[in-house]
Amino acid sequence: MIIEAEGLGYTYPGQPDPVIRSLDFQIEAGEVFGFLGPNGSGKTTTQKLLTRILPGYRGKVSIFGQDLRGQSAAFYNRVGVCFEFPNLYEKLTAEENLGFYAEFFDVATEEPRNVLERLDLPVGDRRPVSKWSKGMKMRLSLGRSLLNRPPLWFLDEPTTGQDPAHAVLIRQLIREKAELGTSIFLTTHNMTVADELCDRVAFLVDGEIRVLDAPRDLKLAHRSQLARVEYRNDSERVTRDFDLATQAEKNAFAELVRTREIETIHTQEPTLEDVFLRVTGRDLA
Amino acid sequence: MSAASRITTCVRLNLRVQQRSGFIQILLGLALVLVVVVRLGLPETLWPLLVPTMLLVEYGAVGLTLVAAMQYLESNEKSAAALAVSPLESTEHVAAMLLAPALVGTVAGLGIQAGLIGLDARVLLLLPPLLVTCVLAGAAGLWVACYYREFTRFILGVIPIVALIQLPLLSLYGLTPRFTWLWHPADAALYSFTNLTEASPSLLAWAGYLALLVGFCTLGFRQVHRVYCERILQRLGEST
Repeated sequence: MIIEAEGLGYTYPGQPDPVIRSLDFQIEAGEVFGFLGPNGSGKTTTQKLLTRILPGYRGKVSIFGQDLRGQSAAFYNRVGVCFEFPNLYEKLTAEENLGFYAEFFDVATEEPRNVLERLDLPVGDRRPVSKWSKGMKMRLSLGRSLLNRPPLWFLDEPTTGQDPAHAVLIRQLIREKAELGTSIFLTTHNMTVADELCDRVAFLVDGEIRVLDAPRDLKLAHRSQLARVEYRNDSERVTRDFDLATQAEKNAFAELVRTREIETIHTQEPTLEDVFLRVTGRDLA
Repeated sequence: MSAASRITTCVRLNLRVQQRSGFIQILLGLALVLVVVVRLGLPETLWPLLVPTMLLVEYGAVGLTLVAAMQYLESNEKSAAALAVSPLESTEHVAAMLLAPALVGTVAGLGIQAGLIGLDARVLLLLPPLLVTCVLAGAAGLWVACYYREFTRFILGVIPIVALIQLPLLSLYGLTPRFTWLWHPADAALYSFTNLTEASPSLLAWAGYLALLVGFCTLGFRQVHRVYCERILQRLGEST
């Protein structure tokens, strides 16, 4: 087990109520674990607790089989952390940002040039990163978190600020790392990203995990056998829903397909977002 | 990688950021201007008073402002968060934050010495007191910067500290007895300089002062590290 959390809780100093109540979960080696929830649900706080940025938590957390409280900064030789916002030395170039950071590690590190190329960032750019776009800075921050080839990688909203092509590139990178055995703790409110990448997801609402399962199993558990058909009735377009759980509806559906000019047929599988809404009663906004 | 290597890397990183921000150029330029003004415009009889004064001003300016500037930069850019999730320990980070401007301050201080009295082997005796006094001034600057994020409040906060650093000048100007400020961290560099301009420095006094300075530095470092963890790293965790 890479991460084991038991009764993990946290209250910000000066706040009356806990932001994280009592979380229990485990993450296995090579697993992509999605931590999903609306803004303010405690996702980022949980990541900060697991990455030692916030001390003073309740409960027990062990990472790589060792209690998190006893870890020194050497812990980060095996962990990569990418925050939700870029946090770079804005006056330095990208290669300087990566080069200096790489020198802190005790383990073999990636070549900065390779990291830049992998993330479609310019190599040899003499401009300070303050001149770069937010999307480029985010990718650079992401690349920096990979310098030490971490077996455990924390990602907070990794596709924020990316155009569709670069969002795909980041998703490919995450999948590639997972295939190589990296355990990934992915914090996001983007259900499409989570559905595509995660082996398991936890729905976090008000500091509590409401559901924890594989996205496919969650969708199957909440599926409906509804089919929506669009067809032509003379010149008019008609939309009709069929509940395929009943024989009468199945027959009506078959009859329609046989006799009418069908334009579209869609099964009404729930998305992960639908499941989230049903389970938690909350929107992701 | 050892702690020393990580601190060295972090010092280089600090110096590069400060150089790109223009801070180092400004402070070394200030030292050059001071030397030129003194050499061209002031009689040599005044130098024994002016040079130590300038040195203490440099300690204050370099130590306080550079460390504070770095702290503000790292907080605003959130780059401190990146260091917080690296193998660099917080003690190493704070040490590097203090050492980087101390090196600049020492170079500026030696530049003033060399520009006014020439380079001499005895100048080497000044190196340690210069360096540790700069570290101490930097610790004071960082301590204030941890409490006051707004520039005006920071300046108001450092004025009493700059005044405290310069207290030994009172003896130099004959306003207090010579040994009044023996305990004062900045007195070591001042006393070393006074010896340097005279016949030969007293090695015993120099070593004694140095030990005192190291003691002050250790205490100052522990205090400022505690404040940095409480006020900066904790805030970082709550806001990143």
